[in-house]
Parts: sequence; C-alpha cells; structure tokens
Amino acid sequence: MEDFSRRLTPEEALKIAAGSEAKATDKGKLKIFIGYAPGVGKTYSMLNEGNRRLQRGEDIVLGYVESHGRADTEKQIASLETIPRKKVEYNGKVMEEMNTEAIIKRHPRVVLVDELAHTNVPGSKNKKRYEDVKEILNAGIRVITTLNVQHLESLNDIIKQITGVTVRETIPDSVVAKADEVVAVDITVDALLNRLKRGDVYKREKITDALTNFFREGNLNALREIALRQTAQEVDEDLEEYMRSHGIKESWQTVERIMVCISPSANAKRLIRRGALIARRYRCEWFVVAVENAGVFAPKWSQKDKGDLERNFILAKQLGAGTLILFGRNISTELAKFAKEKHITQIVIGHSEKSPFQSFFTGSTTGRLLSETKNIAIHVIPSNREISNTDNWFKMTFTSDLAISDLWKTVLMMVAVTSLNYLLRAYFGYQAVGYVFLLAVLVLSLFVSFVYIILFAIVSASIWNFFFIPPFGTFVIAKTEDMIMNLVYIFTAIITGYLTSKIRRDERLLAEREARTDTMYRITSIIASAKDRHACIEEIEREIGVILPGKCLAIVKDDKKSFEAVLRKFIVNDEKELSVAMLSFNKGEMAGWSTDTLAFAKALYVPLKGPSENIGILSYQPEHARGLSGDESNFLVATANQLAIYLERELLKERAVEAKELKISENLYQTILDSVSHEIRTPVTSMIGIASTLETLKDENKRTELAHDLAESAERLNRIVTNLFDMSRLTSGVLSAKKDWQDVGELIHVSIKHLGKKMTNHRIRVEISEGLPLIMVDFSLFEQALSNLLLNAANYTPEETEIMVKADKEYEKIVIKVSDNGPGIKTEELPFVFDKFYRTKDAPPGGTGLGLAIVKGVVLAHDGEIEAYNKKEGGLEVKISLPIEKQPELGELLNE
Amino acid sequence: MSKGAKILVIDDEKSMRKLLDISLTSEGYNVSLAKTGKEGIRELGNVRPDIVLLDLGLPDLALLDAGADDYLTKPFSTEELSARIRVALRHSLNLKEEPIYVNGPLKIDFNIRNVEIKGEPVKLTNTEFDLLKALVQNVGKIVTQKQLLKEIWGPEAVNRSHYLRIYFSQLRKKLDKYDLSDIIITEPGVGYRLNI
Repeated sequence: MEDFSRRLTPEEALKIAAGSEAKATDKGKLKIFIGYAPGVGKTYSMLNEGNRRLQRGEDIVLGYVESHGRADTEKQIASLETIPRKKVEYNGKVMEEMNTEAIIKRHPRVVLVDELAHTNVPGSKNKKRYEDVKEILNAGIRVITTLNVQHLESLNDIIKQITGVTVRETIPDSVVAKADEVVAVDITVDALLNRLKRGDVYKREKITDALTNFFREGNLNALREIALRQTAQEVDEDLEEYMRSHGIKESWQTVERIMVCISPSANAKRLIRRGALIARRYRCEWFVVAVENAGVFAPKWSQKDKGDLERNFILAKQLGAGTLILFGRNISTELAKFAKEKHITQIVIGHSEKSPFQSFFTGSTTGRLLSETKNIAIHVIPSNREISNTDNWFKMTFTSDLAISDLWKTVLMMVAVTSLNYLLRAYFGYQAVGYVFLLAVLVLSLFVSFVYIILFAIVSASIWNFFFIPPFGTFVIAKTEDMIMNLVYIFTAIITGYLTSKIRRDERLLAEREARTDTMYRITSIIASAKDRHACIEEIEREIGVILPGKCLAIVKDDKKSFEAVLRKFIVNDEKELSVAMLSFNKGEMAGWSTDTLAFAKALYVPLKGPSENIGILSYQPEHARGLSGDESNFLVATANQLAIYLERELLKERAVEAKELKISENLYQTILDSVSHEIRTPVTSMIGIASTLETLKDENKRTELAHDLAESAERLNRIVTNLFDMSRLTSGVLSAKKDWQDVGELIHVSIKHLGKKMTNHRIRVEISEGLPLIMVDFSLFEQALSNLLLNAANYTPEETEIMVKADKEYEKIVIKVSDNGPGIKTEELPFVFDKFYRTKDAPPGGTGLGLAIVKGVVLAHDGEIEAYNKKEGGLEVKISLPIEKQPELGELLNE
Repeated sequence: MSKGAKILVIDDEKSMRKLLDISLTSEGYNVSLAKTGKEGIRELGNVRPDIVLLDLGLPDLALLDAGADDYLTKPFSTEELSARIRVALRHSLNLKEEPIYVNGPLKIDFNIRNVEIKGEPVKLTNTEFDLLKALVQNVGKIVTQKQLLKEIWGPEAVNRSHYLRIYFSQLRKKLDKYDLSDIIITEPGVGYRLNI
C-alpha cells in the first residue's frame, strides 16, 4: 500500500547522481570532526590525523588552526606546513582570516581547517568559513575540519533551550549531510570537566566563568547526547543513500509526513526548525502551513504579518519544506482537512497564544485539532512569547476596521437618514421610519466595517426612540410593542451588518488569495518551462515589470568573478548604488528604496537566497516614486525566492558540468602531448641533423639531396602542426563562427587542387551530380577533412590506382563518398579508424593517427554522419552525409 | 623591369628576413629590409619600392579589401612567393584597360560583352559576364568576395556569399566544356582569382 514511497523522487535521483559523481572524482572530500563542546579534542584529533598523513608522505598543509594556547595543540602544529593567514582590516582593527586563495594556489592534497562554523570578518569574500571550505573542495582539495554540534542550524532552538545560550554562528545542516566522513570526537563529561579545571581548555581567568555558564554538567550531558545522536544519524543517512542508489528497499521505515502549522509570529521559526529536525530524522516529506482566518472576529494579518510569514516560508523552503497558505473560517478544520488530504502522520503546532478569555469563547485550535484528526501524532511546542492580552486581540482584530473615512460615511448616513425621516414622519407615522433606518443599515454595511454598523445601529435606535417614538424628546417608550420593535431593530441591524461584513471579508480574502496564487502560478510555470536560465531570468524580469511598473533586473553571481565585478556591469558609475546592492547581497537582506535600510537608493535590492548560498540580487527600479505596499514587496520577495531556488540548482548543475569538462580536456591534452611529442621530435631531429651537416658539406649533389630531405621533414612537421591546430579548433568551438554557404563541387575541386604535388602518384576521378543544393559549412575545415580523406586513400593504396570522389543527393542528404581500390581495412579494425590516435596495424610510418579523427570531428561539427566500410568490389569507401539546410533567399537579382 | 625591381621586406623575424633577402636577391631583385612597421614606413619613403612584403600574424582580409594585392599563408615555398611577385609586378605595370582582352584561348570584348574561347562564342548571362570581367581586370590577383558582391549586386549584398557560389558554379560548368574550369581559383574564405 505504501509502495509509492519506494520510488525515487527526481530530486533524490539527482542527489544520488551528484553525490556519487562528486565523491568519485572532481571535488575534494570533506571530513568533519564533530564534538559536543569546546575542549573535547576535535582540533587535537584533526591535527593528529594531519600528522599521521604527513608521515605517510601525503602533501598536507594547515589552512587555519586556533590553538587557544593549548600546549598539546601547539606541539602538533609545529610539524605541519602552515599557509600564512590573510590580514583583513575592519573598523580600524587588523583581523586574521584563513587565506583561501593561497590554499587553492598552493593546491595540497589535504588541508586542515579548524572551526567550520566560524563567521569571517565583514568585508571578506565569503561570509562564512564553510563557504571558503566549499571553494577549496571545489578546487579538488580534501578538507579535514572541526565543528561543535551546537552550530548546526536545525539544532539551534534545542541548544538554546538546553543551555540558554543563543548560538549565532550557525551552518546549514546540508554542509554536514554532504560531508564524506563525519567522526564524533567524544570524551566523557567528567573528563572534559577535569580538562577544563586543569586549564587545558581555557586560560585560568576564564575557567570559573565557563564552569558556571556553558560548561554546566547538565548542559554537557545533553550536548553530548545530541552530538552522538547527530553522528549516528549521519551514518544512517549514508547507509540510506547507498541503499537507495543500489535499489535496496528492505530497510524503509513507515512513511512519515510532517505538517508544521505556523502563524506569522516569531515563534514560527522555532516550529519550522523543529519540523525540519523531525523530517530529517525520518527523511520524509514535510509541509509548513499557515491558515488565514476568514472569521469576522478573527485577528487579521497586517502587512507586517504577511512579510513575516513570507520570511518564515523562506526559512521553511530553505530547510526543504513545501509551503502553503490555507484559507478558512475555522483553523483546526482547515488543518485537519489538509492533513487528511496529504496523509500527514505528525503535526507540529505551537502552544496557543490566546488568552484564557479568548480560549473560553473560541476554544483552542490544538484541542479541536486533536478531536478532528485521527492517527496523527501532534507535537505541541511551547511558546516563549508572553501570552497576549485582550487589548492586543481587540487591536489586531479591529485596527484595520477603524478607518476615519468609514466614520465619516457613518455620520453622514446618520444625518441624512434622520433628516429624511424627520420630513417623512408627517406622512407615514413613526413606525415606518424604523424601516427606513433598517434600509440605511443595509446600505451602509456594504461600505463600512462592522464596528461602525454596531455604532450606527445603537445610535440610530436611540435617535428613533428619542425623536420619533412617543413620547418625543425622551428615551422613555410608552407602548410595550414599540419597545419590542426598537429592540428587534437593534438586533436585526447588528445581525445584518455582521453577515454583510462577513461576506465582504470572504470576498476580499478570496480575491487576494486568487491574485497571489495566480501570480505565483505564473512565476512557477515560467521557471518550470524556461528553456535555460537566461530565458528564465528574462521572462521573470518581464513578468515583474508587468505587475510593478519599472525596471527589474536579476543579477546572478559568476563563479569566475567577484559579485562586485558582475554588479559593475549593471550598475555603471554609481558607487552609492553599488554599495547598497553589495550590502543586500552580502547580508542577504532587502535594502535600498522603499526599505528601512539605505532608503536613499534609486532601486530596491532583494537578495536571491538559494537553499545554501546567495545567488545574486533582484534589483527593482520603480517608475513611480510611491513606495511599495507590503503585498507588492512580499511579491518581490516571494518571486526572488522562487527564482533563487531554481538558479542555485542551475548553478550547481553548471558547476558540475564545468568541472567534468575540465577534467576531460585535461585528459585529452595529456594524451595528445604524450603521443604527439614523439611524432614532432622525429622530423625535428632530422632537420637539426641535416642543417648541421649542410654547414660543412662540400659535395654539391649531396647538398641538394639533403636540402630535399630537409624540406620533406619540414613538410611532415607542418602536417602534424596543422592537424593539431585543426583538432584544437574543433574542440574549442571556434568553428561555428566561420560557417557559410558553399558549393560542394567547388569544395571538392579546391581540396584536390590544394593537395597538388602530394597526390601526383594517384588518379583522382570526380563525379558530382547536377543541381546539388548549397551546404552550410566551414570551407577550410571541410577542405581539410576532404584532403585528409584523399591523402589517407593515397597513403594506403598502391601508386597509379584510382581514387574516386562522388557527391550526390541520397534520401534528403548530401552525400560525399571517397573510395579507393586498395586493400581496404580489416573488419575488426573498422570501428576504430575514426578514433583519435588510432593507427591500423599496417599503417605506413609517419602519421599521428589524427587524420581521420579530424575528419570525423569536422563532420560531427556540421551535424553530419560519417562511416567507413569495405566495398564489395574491394577497396575502402568513406561516406559523409550532411543534412540539407533551408536554402538561402536568392532574391530577384538571380532571375535571369 | 621584372629584374631589378625594388622589394621592401617588413618582417620582425630575423631568419625570415634573411631567407627572403637571400632568395629574392638571387633572383635579381633589389631587396631592402625593415624590422618594424615604423622602420618600414621610413624605408618606403627612402627606397620607393615596387612591391612591399609585409608579415602579418594572420591573413588580414580587411587589408586585402583595403587594397593589398595578394597574400600567402605561412608556411609557403619561395617558389610560390616568386611566382606571386612576378604576377604582381606584371599587374602593376599593366594597368590600363583595353577594350578587347586576349589571353591564351580566352578573348573578351568588353564593349559588346562578348566572350570567345578558342574562337567559339560562349553564351554567358549578364551576371556571369560581370564576374568574369571583374576577375579579368585583376588577373592573377585575388578579388575578395566582398569586392565582387559589392561591385555586381551592390553594397547591400556584401554578405550574400551564396550568390557567388551559385554563379561561379555555373560559370565553371560553362568553362569546363573547354577544359578551362581551372582558370578560376577559389581562395577559401577570401575570394577568387583568375589564373591563366
């Protein structure tokens, strides 16, 4: 029944693919020593391993180590080569950071880097050390590093709860998840405390302080447990991935699906992190859901709330959740419905933030959720926020309803209706007047909020009573039925007003939701259907331009340049604007126009935050001066977020491809160098020899002979160089620039003519069909290809035999055949003749084995096909087929 | 005047200057040498050469369009070089236009737009005739694709090289009947040359 769970999602498949690739070749491996507190011996273990590797003869250097004055550590450092630190000036102070560039330049096999979670001095290239480490890994260098468990992003809250310390330096869990090896460095808490007391960890003066704060025994025990569990989990995950990639299914746990219910409040981040932790443990799909309440008495979301929610969703997406806003009158019902639809098995929800007073009337969401769901575990996470009071609730519910313009409308209606009734009273009597008031309530409820309807109902009832119901001029009502009528009027007015307000609010929420879904749908579909990332960026820029008039630019970082250099192309000669954009990128926060940060800027900058790094920024330069509404800026943030997730994936893909290509071309160059250097040396040696002989030789005849040999060697060298040059032209892609319309006949004739003396020993017969279409080719490359084929034929066949060149049209292709009357090629060797550096067993000396490879390269570069086979009547035939392209316009000038 | 003609060689490579000096002097030319373009320009005023041999990193097509007569790509043989020099010298002496051009089997009357080969009239279309005429007027010398397209189809046609492919293919076919298709030489990527 749960079978669907065993299929790999595309993301999983990609991850496995990327994982095995990265592990196999391009990237350096990452090994992390995880400890539960400072002083457990991570750095020591790292250095220990470093020294062991050094003794084994490995090329290993120290990238960055903090000894904290520990003697043991310093002894270990001494024996290792250290890359000098970089000096960075900040606020007038000179700070030291790891010198990433120097490490990459030095390119050791292994580098040791302490404190992975370290945050660099502002103004460094990367914000965090783990980003530096990524760069080093990408350069193909192995990294061994250390990490304290409290720095893990998803453990942030728990650690705070346990220790009371907020850890600011966090790193994404994915960094650890992607590590190739994770080693727990563990000692017992007692031993750690002993070490601390001995002064092995901190200097004397800090010890007491440490013992009473972070290093409390309870703290340490809890941290130790977390660290061990974390490492165990990493091991688990590696096993899991291995099983998945090898199609092993047995160990699957029951399918868990987690739903985290959040509101815009700050508490939501805790819930999300907790959800992420659970989802990670089960390695399952999870959702973060918020419900917008449509009830009239429910607190409404302000623009700030919506912004907060958007930010919460960004965090959720970065941690891998699906996000969604539900909409309904009853939060628990909506949640329960969603949970049922998605087969949710666990719900994470915050403790109610309602006051006891509110709970009395509306009940608690959690309580109702419990009764509305079955078989779902519900985690209730306590809130650390002060419970809100009634004032607050009233403010949240009605603030947006208390518009001054509504008050004016109400007063105006009151005055108008009262005056009208005063005139009408003479004709209808005071009872009918009540109906006119009721009509006014109905009309008014279409325009003003519920608060004013209540106000209007009460005041108008009083006016009716005071001025119209006898006895006039008093609040006394003489007849009982009049009193009932007056009361019924008040209630009818209030109920009508309530219903109308409700309908209006529903409508507004629906419209907003539709607009939001619509825009997000368009953005998502643009991203999904984009041909490539440039097309995607262009489309999104246009889409934003449609919704928000102005100029929108998505500026994406480039691995080869600093982001500043990239920005300078877009922001020319405006240092102020540039600094705002850089700030937004570096801090990962919105900045510039219409924000609280550097609002003087001409444009608004929204960071493109991918799941693990900042990809770039989205700049928006408005057409109008008015600031953005909350909705509009939320829209920009949401779009930037979607785009960033897509772009990061693309960027990662590109990086993987680049790394692979680099590897391939490196290998190719090596092969070429190896096999060609010999070929080049032979003629060069004879040239040097001949030249030195000529210097002293007197015999005229022998001189001429040697001069002839010299020319021949030079000719041979020239041929090799030409071949290599063509090969590199073919592989470097310079080719496409020189394609032009060519006539097949002309091509063949020129090729033969240029061979000239080299072909005098063979007869060449040319047959070209009438009326062949033009082909789109690079003339000189194709000439080279044909020459190579002809030379090849000449080299492998006896003198005075005939070589045949035919050009024809076959099955909508242009076909060029070069055939000879020689011995042909052995069948077992045929498949290899077009391979680089392949030479048949009976090849005459002096070739590079590149000739036919170049022919094939040329043909493939023109989208053609090539094959070689032995003819029935004997001899080899090589057949090139080229597609017939749409012929060029000839114009009237040709109509002769 | 072929012998004793003045040739200025501008090349920054010593061995190349030496080789050209020796080989061209041995053929009876009066050779002067220059290391750099600047030096070359000075020599140009002093020597007033009939021919300048200029070394460029790559065959510079723009230079051809700007009025250079010919080019050779390295490596080249000295034989080929002196053949080209002879053609260029002949050309530089023979600039005036005759109404009737006779060269070997080919006879062209420009006034009545008539072509005869080996005494037989050949029927060419107007465009074919114009192409042939353009080559004949520059016999031995490369006429670039751009020049041809501009001259015959106008400046807006300079990129429509496929016109040339089609017309030269037709023209060659007509010349082939008299075994003369080889007189039109294609210089790949550059242009055409009449070699007769």
